[in-house]
Formats: sequence, structure tokens, C-alpha cells
Amino acid sequence: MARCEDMRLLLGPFEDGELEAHEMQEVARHVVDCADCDGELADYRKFAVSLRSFATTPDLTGFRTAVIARINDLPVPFATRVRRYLTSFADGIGATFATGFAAAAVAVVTAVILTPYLRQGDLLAGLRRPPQVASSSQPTATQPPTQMAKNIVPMPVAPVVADAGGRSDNPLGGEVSPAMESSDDSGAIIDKLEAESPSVAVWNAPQSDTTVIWVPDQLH
Amino acid sequence: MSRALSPDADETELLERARNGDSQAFGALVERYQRRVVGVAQAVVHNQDDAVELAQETFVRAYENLSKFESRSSFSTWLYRIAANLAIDFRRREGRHQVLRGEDAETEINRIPSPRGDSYQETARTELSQRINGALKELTSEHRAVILLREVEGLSYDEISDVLHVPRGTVMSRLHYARSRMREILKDLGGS
Repeated sequence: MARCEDMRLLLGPFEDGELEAHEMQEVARHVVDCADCDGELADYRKFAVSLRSFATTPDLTGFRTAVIARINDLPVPFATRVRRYLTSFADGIGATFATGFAAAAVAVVTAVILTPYLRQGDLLAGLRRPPQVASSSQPTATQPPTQMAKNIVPMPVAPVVADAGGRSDNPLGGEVSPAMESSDDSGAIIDKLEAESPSVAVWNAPQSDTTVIWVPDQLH
Repeated sequence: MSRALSPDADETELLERARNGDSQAFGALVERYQRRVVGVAQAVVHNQDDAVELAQETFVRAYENLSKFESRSSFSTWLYRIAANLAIDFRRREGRHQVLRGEDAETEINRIPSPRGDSYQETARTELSQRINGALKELTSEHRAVILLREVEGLSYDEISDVLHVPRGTVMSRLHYARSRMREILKDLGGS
């Protein structure tokens, strides 16, 4: 019976699964052979079930709302206010940086995309400007075509058009287009160049040392 | 600003949001633990109305001290500990540990749901409930708290030890005594 007394101390923890593995095995072996301890274990189980089934839970409707209402009435501690302010400030700074970065990125992309068109627009605008605005000297052979174009002002004197065959009596290899001879209207000349010139056209005005090289956007 | 909360929202996330003042997140935690917190308080004070009030106070205290919770124990155990401390203080203050309120037994019996409309079964159930309540009354408040926390709330020995600030061995011995005493008092119910 001494063994039963020892075992009874372990019956509750055995039922609760709170013993070490070797103790669990020991109690289990004992209960199989001991009707008294087995009965006591059964009583524990029965009382536990009864306690659980008769336990009453109060109606907790509105419990959460009541707790939140009490919390909202609490004065916010100074440290908490400071922390929340810093957190919101940090969030704001982050948002500002993000917005600024996005705006800068959009500006850069826009500039990269639009720059070629703007240059072209400048060139055409310059070509359409009245002849009295500016003039430039004959470009040198070492200057690239784009550089030459920047210095060119349209003059109403005999353009030379170079065709695919390359026949031309012009030093630059162009051919005089009859439609462009001796016109005083530089705008009209440019319009004709735009409309009619199939390839590169060179327009000379020797008396003012001015040359216009017409390069269409797309050469076919 | 606060995002919607799913019923299974991660506890760590809820705690973090509650620490930053998100009362909706804390409300989700209240919803999750309210029943057991009330149960822990009730195991100590043995009165439902007092237990509900103490549970509310528990959540308010928890909210105020969220910054001190360091996740060394689980949030639930931390809550139960606050609830048990408040309940033990309340019991000492009110001097109610000697006698249960008379209304308690009546209230609990009246709330027992009847599984069927059968009057015989209902009577038997009421009688059994009275016997169990009577047996519980005969235990000291310490023994009653331990057995209710274990059997009704399902706390482990370590959790009970943590919540009630007593060694694990004390939990085991109190449980053993409470169970033996209950068995003795309800001996004649053994065959039923």
C-alpha cells in the first residue's frame, strides 16, 4: 500500500500530463494493476468534467467596447506622445523624400525623352526666323553636319540638292533645284525643302558666305 | 490609417500596432483573451460581476504597460498574471476570501444551460451543480483558485505557478489536496 500512497501523489499530474515520461509510464503500469488508484483517477476525471460543464461564463457583450472606451479616456503619457510624434514625423519625412525622388526621376526621364525633339524644334524655329536675325560663316570641312546646322541661317539663294546618284556642280556635291532658285522667302524655301527634298540638300548664298545644309529627319 | 484586422491577425503585429496607439488592434487582443481573463479573475474572486470588472481593469493596465511587456513570457500569461494580481489584491481588500457571496451559487445555477427540456434531468443537473458548488466552497480560496485555473481554464502547472507567484511544487500539492478533498466531499456521487 505504500506504493499506492506514493502513486496517489502522482495521479493528478498524470491526468494532467505534467509528469516526466518515465513517471508517466510508471503510473500507467501501476494503475493497470491497482483498482483503488484506477478508481481515484476516474473520480478526478469525472470531477474535472463536472467542473467544466458547470462553469459559467458571464455575458461579455460590450466588454471590448467598454475596455476601449476606458482606454480612450486615459491621458496619453508624455513619452508615448513624443514617440508617436517622432514616428509620424519620420513617416512624413520618408513620404516627402519618396515624393521628391519620384518627381526628380520623372523630370530626368522627361528631359531625356524630350531633349532631341526640343533640339529639332530649336533648329526649325531658327530656320524659320527672319533672315536679318543672324548669319554665319562658311562651315569648315572638319565640322560635323549637326554643328554646321546650328550656324546656318536660311538665305534666298540657289539651293543645291544632292540626289542618290551624287551628281552635282556644287562643291558639296549637290544639284541645283530649279524650284529653289532665287527666292526671297526663306520660309517658303524651307517649306519646299521639307516637302520636296528627297535627300540632303545644300543651299548656298556666296555673297554672304552662308550655306544651308538640309537634312530631312528620315532618309529613305 | 489603421489597416483592417483579420480574426487571425498575428499577435506580434497586433501588439506592435497597439503600442503605437492603434486601439482597434488592442481591441482584437481583448476579444481574443477576454473570456479566459475573466475566468482567471473568477477563479480567484468567485464572483462573476467582480471578475468582469477586474478583467476590464486588467486590459486597461495591460494597455498602459504595453511598453514594459518584453515577450519573455507569452502575452496571454502576462495578462493572466495581471488579472490574478488584481484579483488577489481585490480579495484581500474586500475580505471576501472567507465566504462566497450567497448570490453566486444561485446565479451560477440559474445560468446552467439545460441540454434538454427534461425536468428530471434538469433537476438532477441542478442538484449536481449545487453539490459541486458546495464542495468548492469548502476549499480554501488558494485551493479553489488552483483547481479552477487547472480544470476550468486549462492552465498548465507552469502557468499557474507564474500567475499565482507560487512554486510549481506548491501548485502540485495544492491541486492534490483540492482534488482529494473534492473526492471526499462528493464521495456519494461516485457511482452516478
